[in-house]
Amino acid sequence: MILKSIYLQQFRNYLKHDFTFEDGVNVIYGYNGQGKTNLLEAISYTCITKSFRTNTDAEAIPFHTNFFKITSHFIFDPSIKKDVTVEYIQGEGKRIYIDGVRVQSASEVVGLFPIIILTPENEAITYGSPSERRRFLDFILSQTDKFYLTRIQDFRRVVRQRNKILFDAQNNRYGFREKIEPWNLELYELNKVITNKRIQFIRDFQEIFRPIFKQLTLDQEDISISYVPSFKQEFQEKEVFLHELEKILNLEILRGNTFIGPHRDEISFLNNEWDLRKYGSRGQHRTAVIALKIAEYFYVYQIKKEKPIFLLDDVYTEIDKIREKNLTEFFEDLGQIFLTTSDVDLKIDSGLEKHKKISYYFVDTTQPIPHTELGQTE
Amino acid sequence: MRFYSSGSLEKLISEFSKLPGIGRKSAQRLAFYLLKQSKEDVETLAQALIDVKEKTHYCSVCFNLTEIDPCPICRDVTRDHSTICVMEEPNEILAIEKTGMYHGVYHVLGGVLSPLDGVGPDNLRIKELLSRLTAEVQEIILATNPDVEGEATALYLQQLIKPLGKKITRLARGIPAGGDLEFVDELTLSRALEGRNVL
Repeated sequence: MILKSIYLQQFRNYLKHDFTFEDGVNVIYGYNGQGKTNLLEAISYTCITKSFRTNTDAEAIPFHTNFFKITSHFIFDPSIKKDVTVEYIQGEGKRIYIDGVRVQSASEVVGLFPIIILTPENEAITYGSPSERRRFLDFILSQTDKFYLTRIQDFRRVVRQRNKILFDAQNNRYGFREKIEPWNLELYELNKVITNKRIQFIRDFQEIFRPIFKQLTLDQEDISISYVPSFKQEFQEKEVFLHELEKILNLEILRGNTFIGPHRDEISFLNNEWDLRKYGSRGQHRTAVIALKIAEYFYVYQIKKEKPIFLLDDVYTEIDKIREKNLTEFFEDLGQIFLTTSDVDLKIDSGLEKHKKISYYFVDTTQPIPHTELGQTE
Repeated sequence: MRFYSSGSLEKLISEFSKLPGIGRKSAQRLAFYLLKQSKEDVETLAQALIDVKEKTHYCSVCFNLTEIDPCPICRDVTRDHSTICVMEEPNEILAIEKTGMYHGVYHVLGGVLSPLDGVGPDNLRIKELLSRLTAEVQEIILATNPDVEGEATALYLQQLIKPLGKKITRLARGIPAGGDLEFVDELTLSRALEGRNVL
């Protein structure tokens, strides 16, 4: 699948802008603050219905206006076209259309247009809190497993409902047992499904990830992924799980919080037995994140049988430094790539040029936008 | 936002835009459409609005919407009063009735358990349901939606009714008609397996 063109209307610093892209590597360059990352963000909106930078859609609306609109044209082999439009109107929310037909929920879109995003913030995956690693895992699973996303959404809903009961019980335990029991049973079902999916995923993903990491470090290092679910193996037995809930009940009420579930799982990277998060050097973290993203690419490709598009936000120069570690080899195998750089004179490595078409786009939006041209809906 | 010089027109538009799914633009279209209609047509519509509010009540037995109490379904002696189908809202009764497959009676809860919205067992018509479970009643069908809250409500009712020794059933959850096994997720599939039928 490739992204052939994109049309942005009132999106961040773009008033009305068309871009046509090529298969191969698309280099988006320009001075700082010109909207290079904004362009990648717009691509992300049409692939996964949201930004990779923020959870607040309204942030992307320019001043003096009340909506933004993005339309992407994708081409699938062998020349099947698909259009995606995402529009966000202040106060009314987000609307998504595929080929002009409105889709009801984001989960219908996520996974149709696979995408891998690598930004400087991704270092948090190996460096940051466990929630960063869970988010990474959920992101891949949501794109590759149609039902994972709805299960996770159901789980979050059950936890919020259950937490409310726990919280209310701090003051008044009247009818508490019968109120919480149905939610405990739902918690069990969802925990079982989600945890098993994650265990299977880590197993499969590891197979792809480890050889890539080894190759990037010239066989010097090896990293394994260890997954410690809070829903332990023995909890697969319903009675054992419910008994455990009974044991931690008072503490759960005290905190008003659910303790067992995928939101409490830990995923760690072990570099020859020691934890990368605690003891890894900056270089090791960077290599690990790049290996994770390349592995993500091949995992998604393997499941979807469709080459994802790869977005690299301001990381190419960093990646370039470990080029001697056979990185270009992986780049050759990737499909369409978008990368941003503020290095106006950046020249892509000539080795890559032999295998991939490279196109350059200069982004310059310094022209101030006259207010009269900005539109409102209605 | 522009306002119309006619105050009554503006009032009508603002009333329409309070309706679910109706924005200001649709409200304007409706208002202008009505302006062009004959006086009789508009009066018929206005009367229909008042009638529905004045004449429609909840059935005192099953809490379906009705003009006569008890509702026609509860009055119907040819229906099977030993089976009660428990629904979230009255409009869902219509969906079941359309199948023509069900001849029992109904009970409308008026919602689902949702602690976040402050809806607990006391806010639903659960006591009313329990008081209906006389010796005559043999089966209770839990037909709440298969979402998180509907599921919790069904589980709650199940534990409440179980001691009464009556048959409790849940609408089958499984593969949709015309569905393809390959594209059904494992939760749905495992439930379909659990609920499999002897042929």
